[in-house]
Amino acid sequence: MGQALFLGLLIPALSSIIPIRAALSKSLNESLNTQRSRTTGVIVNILDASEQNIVPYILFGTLSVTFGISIYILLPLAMLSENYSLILQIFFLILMGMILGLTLLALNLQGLIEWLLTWSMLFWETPSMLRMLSKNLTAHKERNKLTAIIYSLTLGCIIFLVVASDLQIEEINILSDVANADLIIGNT
Amino acid sequence: MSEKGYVATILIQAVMFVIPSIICSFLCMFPAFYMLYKFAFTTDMGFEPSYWP
Repeated sequence: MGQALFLGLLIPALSSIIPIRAALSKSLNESLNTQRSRTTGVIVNILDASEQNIVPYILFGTLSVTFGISIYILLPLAMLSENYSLILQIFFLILMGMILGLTLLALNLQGLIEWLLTWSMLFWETPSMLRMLSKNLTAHKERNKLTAIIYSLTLGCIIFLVVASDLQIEEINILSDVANADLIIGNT
Repeated sequence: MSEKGYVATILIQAVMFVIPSIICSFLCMFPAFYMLYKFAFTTDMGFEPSYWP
């Protein structure tokens, strides 16, 4: 119960780091100003090769390499030592990685889905209105991207949990059938 | 308002968003456990599960 309360309070505290950083990057007066819209239609990035921040790339690369090496070493080790708990943990990690990877892949469809929804759900609108709406969606693209990540990750986790619980229920049913049966004829 | 106060406002706002759901989940926990244990355990198993986590 204490752990649940701690996690319930820790997660919103951690998720407010990015808004705090965004708020502190501007002056206090500008951050508190609710009159002006913060949505910018055009973003200009000036890149300087000498001042490029490569830490995120190195961090992600190191994490990925560690993940890959640990699977290549731990999976055969767990199979040889018949450590089923470790095998299942590795499979769970691979599945989590697949959910994350597929979520990132699904993000590429965001623009296409926005376009499809605009033109199919509001087909009676005039072309000028549809163009304005699609431009509006383009202006909010960065914010919508975060929502899309949260939505697809949640959906992925829910589908994963439903499939896992279905498998468990099926397994329990088979086991209870096996326990009660005198003779079992299986179709494999 | 100082910068520290502004950061505290954001943190309090983030926590206040989740407090209703935390209270609701703790309240729903007991009937949920009752229903789950009712289906999962029977009296002939020889023990009485506790609803307190």
